[in-house]
Amino acid sequence: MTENQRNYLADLAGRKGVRIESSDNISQAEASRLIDELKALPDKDFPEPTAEELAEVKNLTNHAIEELHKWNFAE
Amino acid sequence: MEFRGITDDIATQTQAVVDRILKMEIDPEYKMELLADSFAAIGGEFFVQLFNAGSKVFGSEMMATLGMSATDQIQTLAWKLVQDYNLSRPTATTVQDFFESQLGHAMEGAFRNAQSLQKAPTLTRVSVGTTCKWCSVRSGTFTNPDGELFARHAHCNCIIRVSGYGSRNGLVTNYVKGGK
Repeated sequence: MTENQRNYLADLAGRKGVRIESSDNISQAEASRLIDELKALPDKDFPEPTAEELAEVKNLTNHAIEELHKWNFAE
Repeated sequence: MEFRGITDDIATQTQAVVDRILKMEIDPEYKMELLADSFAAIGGEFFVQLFNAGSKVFGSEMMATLGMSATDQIQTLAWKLVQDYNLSRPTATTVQDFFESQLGHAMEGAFRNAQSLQKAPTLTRVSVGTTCKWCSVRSGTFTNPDGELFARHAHCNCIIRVSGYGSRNGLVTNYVKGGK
């Protein structure tokens, strides 16, 4: 698989809402076949993230920053 | 003075954010936006904290108040993380590399600032045990280091230590979690 194929495949998989397993060592021909298969699928209609999901991401981000601020020079 | 501990710790903390975002059933574009926002927030804080810590080691304290300006790098990073997730590829190395890159930028800035104040900071990079060619060519003591000298490859055991007026005179000691 070429780098262009890999990027295209990853982008296409994202739009279709699927994850590709074990694609690291596939041939260019296999990648082309996989791309054609994915193209045949309808684009996924993604929901918006929920308020709970967004709050969770914000909390995790804030937690990481709080942990960062715990680092300092030893006494 | 080594800053490996904080770099590894923040990479681990940030990985939790990355994993949560990537597993959301939302539009990949939205994932990239959330990832970029989180990396800008955490990376900006990390940059300021490390610039200030380096400046303290070098005895050239001029507190940074602004984070990095690495919008392009963060957008590329967010895109790569989403692409890798879609292909079931690991993301930890990408996250770790980002923070090592930010450490390099912060230290490079702190070096330049210290030099402008007539300080003489140094970076010493020592390989441990049998080492690879990549690390060998980066080993040594540097007075004007490029930020890339702070980079590590996977499982790299090199000791990367900075020193300056503050550390040489015992004004600052180890950088640890739960320090003063």
